[in-house]
Amino acid sequence: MGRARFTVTAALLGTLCGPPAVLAAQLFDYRIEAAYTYDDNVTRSEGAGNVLSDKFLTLNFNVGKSFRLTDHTRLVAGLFLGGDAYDKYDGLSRYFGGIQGELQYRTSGEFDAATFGLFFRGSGDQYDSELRDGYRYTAGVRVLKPLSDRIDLFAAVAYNKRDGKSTVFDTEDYAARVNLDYSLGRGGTVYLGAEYRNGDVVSTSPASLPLITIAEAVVVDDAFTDRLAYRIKADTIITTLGYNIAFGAGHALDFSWRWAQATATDSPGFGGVDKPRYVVNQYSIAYLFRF
Amino acid sequence: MTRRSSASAFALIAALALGACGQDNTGDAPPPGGTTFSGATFLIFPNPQLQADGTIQTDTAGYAQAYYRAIDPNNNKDTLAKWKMANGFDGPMGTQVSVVFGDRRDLGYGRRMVMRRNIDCTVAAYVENYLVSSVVDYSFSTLNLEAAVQRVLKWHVSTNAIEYSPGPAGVVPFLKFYQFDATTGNRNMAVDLDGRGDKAMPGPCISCHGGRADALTPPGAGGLPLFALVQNTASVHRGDAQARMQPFDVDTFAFSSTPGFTRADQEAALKLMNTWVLGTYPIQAASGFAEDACRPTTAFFQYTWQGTAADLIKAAYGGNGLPNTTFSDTFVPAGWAGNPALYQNVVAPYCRACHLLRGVGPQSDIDFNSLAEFQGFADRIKAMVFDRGKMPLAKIPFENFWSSGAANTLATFLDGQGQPVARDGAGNPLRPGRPIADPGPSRTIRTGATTLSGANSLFSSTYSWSFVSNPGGAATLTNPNSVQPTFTTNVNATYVLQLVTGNGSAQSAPVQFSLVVNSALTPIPSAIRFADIKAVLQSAGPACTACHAPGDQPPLFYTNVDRNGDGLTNATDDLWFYTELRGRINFTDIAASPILRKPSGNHHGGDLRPAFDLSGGALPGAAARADYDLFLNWILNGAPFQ
Repeated sequence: MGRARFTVTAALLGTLCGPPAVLAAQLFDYRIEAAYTYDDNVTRSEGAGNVLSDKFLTLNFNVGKSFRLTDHTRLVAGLFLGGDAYDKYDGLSRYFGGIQGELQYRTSGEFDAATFGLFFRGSGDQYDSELRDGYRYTAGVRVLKPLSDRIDLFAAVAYNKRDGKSTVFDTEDYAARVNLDYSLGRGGTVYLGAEYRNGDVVSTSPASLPLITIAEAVVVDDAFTDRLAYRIKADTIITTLGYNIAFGAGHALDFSWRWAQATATDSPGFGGVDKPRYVVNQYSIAYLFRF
Repeated sequence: MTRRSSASAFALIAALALGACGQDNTGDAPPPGGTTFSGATFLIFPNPQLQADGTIQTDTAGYAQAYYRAIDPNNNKDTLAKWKMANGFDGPMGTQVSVVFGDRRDLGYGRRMVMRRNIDCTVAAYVENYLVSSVVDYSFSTLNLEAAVQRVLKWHVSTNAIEYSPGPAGVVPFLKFYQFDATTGNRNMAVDLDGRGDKAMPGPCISCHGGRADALTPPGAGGLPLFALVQNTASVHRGDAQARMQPFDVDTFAFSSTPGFTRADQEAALKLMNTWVLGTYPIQAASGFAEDACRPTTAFFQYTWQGTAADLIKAAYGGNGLPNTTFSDTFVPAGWAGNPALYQNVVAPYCRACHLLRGVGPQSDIDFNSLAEFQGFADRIKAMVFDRGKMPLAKIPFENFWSSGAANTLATFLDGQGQPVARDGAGNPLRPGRPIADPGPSRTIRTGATTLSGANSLFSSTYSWSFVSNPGGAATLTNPNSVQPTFTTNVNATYVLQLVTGNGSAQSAPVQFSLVVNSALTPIPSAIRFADIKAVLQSAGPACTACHAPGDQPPLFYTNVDRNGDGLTNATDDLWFYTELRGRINFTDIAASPILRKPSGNHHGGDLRPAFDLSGGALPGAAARADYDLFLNWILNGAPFQ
């Protein structure tokens, strides 16, 4: 979930908030992001001794280009490459790279006209944890609509699929999310997001009878010691609160807090054990440079 | 990003550029390497009754069917519910307890057991097996135990049942084994107790409950094969394979911390269960101790199992009267006083559970109840443990044995017994899985062509035969790199050959054997038939039939008796005799065949048959071993009946 952080505030604004009147073809758009994140539950687990925290650095390079197709449509395509480096749990560190594209349609050149997009994203992961290596795919539709000169509304539905080296990391889910950006003018932008996902999550924990009983797949997790990774069906809620401020030419700082809660859809069905649930908080500071 | 080089990033980019879009789940596969030893033969008898068509009779559906026909001919117990009802469960005519524990030493399950003893001293127990199996290969984990405590149906893999009661055609109780499907409750004909695949009942159970793996008897009046009749049982009832109940070795169990399921909470029930198990063990004469009240006595006690395991149970509870409330296993049999460490570190944890229930009065040395008995099996222990990987007999004790210091302790002991164990460069004993050549025993043959066979070699795919000595160059080997080369000569002499087998880059140690060629050898090996063997068994000097006859209690009769109960002694009885005797041949390890080892003085109550004397290094063809050679050549030729 860490890599979606700037999708709304930066990526979309970067690709869709060009000249307001027309969807003009652009030159190449380059962006570099560097972020520092504290994650209070990298194991996606619950209970004392099971939850582990860590910090990680992220570096991400994006290059994109848009192509005008008609007066109302354009194609945006891009490549990205980056990596995460964790402090304590090396197995979670990874390189990643991929492609993304979106076919966009804007109803008119009016200020408050909505922009619809049909998007696809494919990427590959190379983790220090071999089990996690693999590919990710996302496809969906989304809409961006300015509600006022200060407020943008963004909404999307998507299908996410991950194809890992271990079957535990073969996951898929369906997601729906909304995001509101509130511009403070020179003071920056505040954004608030909410997302609901229904599908697979992976939780890492010491051997747990409730988890293994409801798990679709289990493997000894090579990113941690004496823990198992469980793939389970869950309902997940993610909220994001962030602040983005630009400075200089193409520079910005971004501060965000993400909170997520995943609740298993199945109950172990014995001993009065509730549905397993975990909560995650991520706090990030990011520097963005666009040129 | 510390463990994997930046080359990974290049590989990632390359993969993306190539449009890779699929990912095999290779992360779930076991790590590469290891030996060719799969453990697939765990819980199968060392002599599995290999048939001429290559099947293992004890692991066939027919074997299980014959077993259940013998112990439950009318299918009165073909479901768990019917079995429980037949044994009085939840009824008033006995006492019933239940316990939950983790069987961490042997089978790995979390086990929820219910056991009862009825007022007629019959005993029955069923146990739900819980195995949380979705993580790694089959093994014990505390999850199994907790699944049993919580009774999580998803992990309930099967229900085993044991019954100590008279057979349908008898009055003397003996042990019977059932296994029921966890979901349907229907009786299973095969079980997978260790993740190594289904194996036919009752083999996986009785192999470690003291049972025998005799060959089926040819079809009787009903037209179907019969389960073997073992003569030296108290019941003398088909289906009585001389199996016995295991003591509950409580110290080896895992217990939950959940109230009601702790060891302390269940200690009293476990003691009661051990008392009931003790009550099934034979005793020579009635005892005044309460715990012995149900123990059977028999006029034939001297021929049957001596109830050796009773000493273990009694010792664990403080001796006669069982004064202690808590099981404590510090038992070291008196016969092990000379090397208690070997007993405690090797025999007790890895051999005792199965071996303590084996043996009969005249030849009980296989119960390993003394150091001398253990020493007497040194050659077979080396073969079974270090070469063949047959023992320890189940996966968990096997793995524990090899991950502990026990393997080295045992190897050192065997070295001292003149049975050196192969070791690696660091001096550690080699695990089974490396090629072991087996060209068969030295033998005497006629001139002409003789087919040799290395098919009983272990973990081998290549074969290389050669001469060590070929006097005058008079002999030739055809196809020396095949599993079955042909040896040819027309000159009487002793030829020494050797076989080296391989598997990949691994090579076996060379194994030498002698072929003593005698143009006057009679009978011709290929002409030996059962009649020749029977003639030896029934010959004087002294005759085998001095013991192997009705009136005594050997496992098999070698006399001409009415075996099928039709009132006649005829060719059918001869066929049954042949089948029973053929079951004493181990076609997977010919030299280990009881029919060769016992008359040659091994584990036979000290009895050495004339003309079976291998002592002094007598070569094949020597008069001292003439009958041994006759039997051996018959076996090498497939042990034909007619």
